[in-house]
Amino acid sequence: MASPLQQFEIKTLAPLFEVGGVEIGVTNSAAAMLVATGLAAVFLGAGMRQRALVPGRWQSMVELSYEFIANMLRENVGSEGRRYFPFVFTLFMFVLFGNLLGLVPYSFTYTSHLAVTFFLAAVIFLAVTIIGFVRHGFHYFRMFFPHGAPLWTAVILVPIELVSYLSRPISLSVRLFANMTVGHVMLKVLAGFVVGLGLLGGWLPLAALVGITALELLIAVLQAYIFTILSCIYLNDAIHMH
Amino acid sequence: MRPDFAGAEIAPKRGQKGVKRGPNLMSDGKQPPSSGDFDSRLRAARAAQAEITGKRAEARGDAANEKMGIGMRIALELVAGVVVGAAIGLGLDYWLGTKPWLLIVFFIVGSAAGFMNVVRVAKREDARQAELKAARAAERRNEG
Repeated sequence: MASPLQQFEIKTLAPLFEVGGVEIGVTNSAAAMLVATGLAAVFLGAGMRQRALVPGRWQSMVELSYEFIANMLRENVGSEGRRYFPFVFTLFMFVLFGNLLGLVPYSFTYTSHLAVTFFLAAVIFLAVTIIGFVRHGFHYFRMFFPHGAPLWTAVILVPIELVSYLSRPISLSVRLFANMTVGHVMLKVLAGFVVGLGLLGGWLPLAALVGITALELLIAVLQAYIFTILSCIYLNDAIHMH
Repeated sequence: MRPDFAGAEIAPKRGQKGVKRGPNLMSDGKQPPSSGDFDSRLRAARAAQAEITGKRAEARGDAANEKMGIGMRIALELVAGVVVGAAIGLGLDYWLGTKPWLLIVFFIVGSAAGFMNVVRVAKREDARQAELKAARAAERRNEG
């Protein structure tokens, strides 16, 4: 029987060229990303084609997702956050469509790879740090020392705050990656039980599988939401400091 | 709220494309209700809707799912602090050749950072819950 981890295997679909001995090509992961990006573009673009004053079902979905992220930014960052809306919205859509696309049988979940999620988290981390330094200049170092604490505690507090700050991209990326990987492994293991127990005993794991699939759908959306809202919270810290 | 489209919004006709719809479309014989009347009806409908969705959300356990998300976050926050601390310690040890002292120091620092992160998440969540509760209470007062 196929290993439950086989689904995460990277396969090169179309080798393109080589750079310094590293083969560059379109892998199944890259293809999934292209498909997700295309689907998101079609979902948003075609949904808004009519621009009806009273939206239909499709346009409502597009408007809902727009308002969802716009409200999230307003509540967590404030009005200064508006200029970062395109980035945050793109981020949300990319993660959401990646998670949802992974639930389609025979597809590939690119958010189940730490390389992908850590890259996203690293971009957010670097962007937030740069925004913080640009807006506050040298003052941004006050992030690493809580306001009002006695000065001598800096010896202990600054390293702690520094580690806490550096742990952000780790927790952000591992959360998404772990949730997606665990969910998909669980689905595959249960599916293996269905086949293994056959026509007589396979019904019980099949019923569980249906439930877990629904749960995975929830987790796919929830994790995209958490990933985005944490980016908003980090952005808020950089803009307003705490 | 768009009071000038009030009549059109109450009784939408099937098959009509919204783009072309304007105030002039109300001239299909029916007199649009006055906007004051509409406002009060809208408020009543919204209150009823809020009650229904609120009850449904509670019953369905949306709150429980959110709690699960927070729990996962807290657990991971703790681990991430320790991992980053240990990684910094190991790296510095390797670089400066001070095995194993910096690892020990940064492991402790990382654990402290992890705990601090957890406290921060919990505090933020507490503040959010209090805000939600206050908002809900205010809403109830307005309705009553």
